[in-house]
Amino acid sequence: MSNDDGNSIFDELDSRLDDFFADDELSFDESSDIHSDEMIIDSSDEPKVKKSFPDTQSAKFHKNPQGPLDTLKVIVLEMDWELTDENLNKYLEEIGRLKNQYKDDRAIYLFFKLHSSIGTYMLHKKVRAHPDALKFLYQVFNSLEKVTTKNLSTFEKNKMILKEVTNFKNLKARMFPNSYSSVEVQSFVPEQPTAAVKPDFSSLPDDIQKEINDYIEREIAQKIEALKKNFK
Amino acid sequence: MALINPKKKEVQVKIVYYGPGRGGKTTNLEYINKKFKSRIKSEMVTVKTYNDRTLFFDFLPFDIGMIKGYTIKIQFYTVPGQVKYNATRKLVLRGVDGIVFVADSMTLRQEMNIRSLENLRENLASFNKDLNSIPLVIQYNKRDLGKQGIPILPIESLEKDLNSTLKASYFPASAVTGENVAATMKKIISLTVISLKEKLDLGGK
Repeated sequence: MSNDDGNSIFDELDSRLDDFFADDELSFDESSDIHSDEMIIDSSDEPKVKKSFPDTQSAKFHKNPQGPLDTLKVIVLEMDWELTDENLNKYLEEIGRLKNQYKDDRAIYLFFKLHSSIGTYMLHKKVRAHPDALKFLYQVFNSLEKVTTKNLSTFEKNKMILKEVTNFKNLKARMFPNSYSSVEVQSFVPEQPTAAVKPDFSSLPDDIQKEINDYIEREIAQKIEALKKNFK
Repeated sequence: MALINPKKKEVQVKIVYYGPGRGGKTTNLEYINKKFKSRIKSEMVTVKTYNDRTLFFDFLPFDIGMIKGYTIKIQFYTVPGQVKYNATRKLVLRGVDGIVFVADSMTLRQEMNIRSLENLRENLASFNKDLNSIPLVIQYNKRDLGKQGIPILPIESLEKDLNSTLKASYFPASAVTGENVAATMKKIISLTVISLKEKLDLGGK
């Protein structure tokens, strides 16, 4: 087999595994942390962040990045111009740095987790990425800018991130239509102990089934022998 | 050795999660089974004793789809970690294609990790397999316990104990929170399928 074949198998496998484990980047039990009792979500409130990105004034950030998101904004602008491995890697690197910087601010941190998830997806998928993925990235960036620059309350921040998480779930449903039967995305909830579940052995390979049966028979025989000895 | 059905264009791969008792092998599979349930489309079989310990093994089968025209079916097994169940561990290891060694990061379990890895090496040797040449990923589980004040070993120490000669890929992880559980699984699938490609000329002419 040629090296090309080898590489193509590797790429195909990598892509398949990325698809399979796609939503592990954003743990939904983490995003559900923001559903605090004090939060009341007004579902009638339509997303207000509709402005397309970037605007013409943002070019100034190239000259003098000073705010916490300025470097990120420069990279996002570059990505809007041309999407390359280089700027995607720079983007993920910057997101990693900001995640660390904002680790104590739950809502903002979750914004960066969203960025990280979508950026990783785009880096892996490249031209095969869903066309809405980049739009979503810009939209999240716009929301993030609002959250970091305006003096919003925790409630308002949580409301915005919750909206983006919902949008992300909807986008994922479009990205992986075969994996998601509906918009509802299953969140991870610690499972009840499986001991109560009656095992179905029929799906096991034959030799394993036989081994189980033999084992059980041996165990029963030993118990009977032990009982016989006790009664002697 | 993987089962290949050239007629059906199907390859069945066996991956075993191995490690000391109470190390989190079952929890790894439970996390995957729960989190990716909609994609796995098959049931996890688990056989436990009354006190929630793995008696035989856990079994989680799933397909990752077609690679180069072959349907790749992966079967994940765990083994019972307790010392007395070595016969079952050997049975489960028969025909293994790839291994995840789940080490327990707790300081108290340092000796158990080393013994379990040695036991793995011996059991593989009984099938004429060498731990150094089989696809292997080491997972340092229970990293979350450090935050709860429970003494855990530093990664460097675990690496020195378990991986200084093997030089296998490794992941610090928490099967309870899901941290690096999928990453561990992705890595072992990838290593195993790639190793089979070399052995079987998978997808070759």
